[in-house]
Amino acid sequence: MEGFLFYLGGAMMLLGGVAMVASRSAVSAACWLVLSFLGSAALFAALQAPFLAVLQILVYAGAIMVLFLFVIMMLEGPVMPAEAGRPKFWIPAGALVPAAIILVATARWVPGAGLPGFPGDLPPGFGQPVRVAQLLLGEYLLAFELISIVLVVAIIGALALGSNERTLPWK
Amino acid sequence: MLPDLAGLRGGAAILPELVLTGTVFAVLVLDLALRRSARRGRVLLLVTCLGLAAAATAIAGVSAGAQPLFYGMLVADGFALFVKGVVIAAAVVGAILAALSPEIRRDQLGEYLILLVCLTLGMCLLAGARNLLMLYLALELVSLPSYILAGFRHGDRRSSEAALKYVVFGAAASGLMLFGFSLLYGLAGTLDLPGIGAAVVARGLQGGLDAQLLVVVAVLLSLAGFAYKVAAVPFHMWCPDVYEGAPTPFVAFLSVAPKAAGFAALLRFFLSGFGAPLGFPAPGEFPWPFVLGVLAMATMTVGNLAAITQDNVKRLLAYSSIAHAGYLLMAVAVGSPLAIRGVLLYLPIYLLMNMGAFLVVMAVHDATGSETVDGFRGLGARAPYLAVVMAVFLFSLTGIPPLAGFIGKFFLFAAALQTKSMFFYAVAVVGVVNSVISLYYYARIVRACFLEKPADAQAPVRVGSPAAALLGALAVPTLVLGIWWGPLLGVVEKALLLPR
Amino acid sequence: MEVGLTHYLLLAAAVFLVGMVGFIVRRNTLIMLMCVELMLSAANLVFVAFSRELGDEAGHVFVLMNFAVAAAEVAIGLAILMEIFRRRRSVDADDLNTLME
Repeated sequence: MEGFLFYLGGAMMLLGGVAMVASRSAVSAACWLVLSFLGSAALFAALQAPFLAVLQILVYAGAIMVLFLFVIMMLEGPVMPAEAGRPKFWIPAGALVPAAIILVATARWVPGAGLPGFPGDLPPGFGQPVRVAQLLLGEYLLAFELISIVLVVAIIGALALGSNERTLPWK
Repeated sequence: MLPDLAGLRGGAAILPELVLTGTVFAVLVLDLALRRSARRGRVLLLVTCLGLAAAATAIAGVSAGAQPLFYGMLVADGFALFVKGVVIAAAVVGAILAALSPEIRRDQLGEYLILLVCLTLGMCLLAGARNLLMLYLALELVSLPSYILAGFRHGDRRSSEAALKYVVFGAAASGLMLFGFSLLYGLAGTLDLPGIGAAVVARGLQGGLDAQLLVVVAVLLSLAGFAYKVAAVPFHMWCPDVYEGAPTPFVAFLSVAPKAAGFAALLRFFLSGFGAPLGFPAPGEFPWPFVLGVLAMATMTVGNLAAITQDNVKRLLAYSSIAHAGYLLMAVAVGSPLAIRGVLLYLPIYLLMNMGAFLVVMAVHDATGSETVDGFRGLGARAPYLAVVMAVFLFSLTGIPPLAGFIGKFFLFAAALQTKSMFFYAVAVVGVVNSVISLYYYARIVRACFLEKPADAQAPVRVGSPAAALLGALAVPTLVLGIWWGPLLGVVEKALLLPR
Repeated sequence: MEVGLTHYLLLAAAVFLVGMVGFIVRRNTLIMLMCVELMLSAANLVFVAFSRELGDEAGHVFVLMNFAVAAAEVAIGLAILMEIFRRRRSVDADDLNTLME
């Protein structure tokens, strides 16, 4: 099951990434990136990180990509040049995919990297929200608090940059 | 079930950070509450400066110790406290500069100050971070406000473009660094910097070729993030554009404080992560001092050579700050106790002279609207005070003897020579040659001030009394420290006294 | 064949390289930012894979924090982009040449 999820998620992530890099318009790039993020969520699930898999979909594929799409929709049209005459970058990028697939498939024989699977014995409840939350509110409490300041900075920054043209109601 | 909270003791040691956080929210609330008041700008500046002063006082009250705090997230040793002092001093000057500058719109001063204090908070945490997660978050807390503040010059296309360039390449650099961090985490099995150091050294000695290669890749990728922050070659390209486009009061701050905090973090990453002092490589280890030394040589040479041809003074100072990053990188490569002392001594001196030079640029720009070297022509006659202090700052940046810059450079070069290795002799020689080159372009501005006549008869350049006082406060120590550096050295040595 | 750590590391390296190549060759700032997101998610994958290998959730916490940081970074990047765009009508990085002249 985990092997199947790995190949499915890995293919989604890699193909989504290459297609994103190679796509002409920003909208299709964003859609391919969503596929890539979904693949990454599948990989998280395969790696016994169900909490992160859900958050990856909610935060990344949900919030962040919606933000991207929202901006693209506002800017799309005459604004975005179709990068005409750009070099054939998708050839090196595309070559990476078969190379990566071959590498992954033959990884067992990469010298020196003796390739056991993952260890079978994980602590009970590994990757469940409870355990992650205990770490967040214990050992990593300071980092957790710091994140809130980072988000405050982002909010104030976005407001400060956005308030140029017209005055905000509270100004 | 509540997790064990015993490791959270040590709140007293982060009192400066707590004060800074309090200041952020005080300014935020006051900014909203006083929105109709005519004195809003002055009140906000006053509160910010009081908050920063309180944080500086709190630093003096923290008892330095090498014991890890908050489950090993932070450490409040003398090294960290000293760097925190430097960045808070830079923040005070930066806040006053913003209030003096017409480039920051009055109704946005509050947001500017909030972001400035957040940035300062990030730098304080960066100086003390001893865990990869903390290091990453603190670095982002430094970067994100920097991106915004670089775009704060409204109605100016260059400012937004500079900000965009900064954020796009900055995000890519932090992506590189994050990938490096993820590999380091996996290789060491911990996010703790000293733990990573021990594991990396062990891997380097006994691991197979692939493990060693992975370590090298991981550290190189991590290095990319730091190189971007301190504007070292090959990640320096953003620097001239951002310096030219961003508002001058912010550039003055950006050129000093984040660089200081970045070097502090880089030193801790290499020294606490890889065992101090870095000698020349033992067999089986990767020659990091060599890599850093080459980067240092490249950084100073690129910075100085590019500075020669610049006409815009802000761009010129940008390249000069790249060159100074090169001198500091040389000391990081050496990594000996003398080198660390040299870096710590250099940071406050660099603060004085570089912020001073930018303050003069700001004053000249506000009076004449010019940011080019030609704008400085005849400044000696039009504003003798400005011209004289500018000469002091520029000669100090060059490192000419009776000025503070000489003392700073002296310790950096002494550390390189003390290694008695041919390679560092070569690095030091490159550094000296570079200092000579830098004399050329610094002197060009001084010559424009005193020897050239302005193109047309122009009115005298007026400086407001707050700006004049601030210039004096920066110039006098630049002069005094060049002759009487004992007390500063004493503070540095006291800061390094405790084992790290 | 059993899937192990090395598979994930190689996959992450490939995804990271795709993102990096894309960042270098593309000139559309929006797509460049998306390429950065791809690089970040490759790093996240390495963290989670090592967490699984080590049986230690510190990597999960790092990824969680990274979600928030990435969101903040994107928000700021896009805000700056919109700001330019109100004046310029182009998001092509090659058009950002006011500073190059």
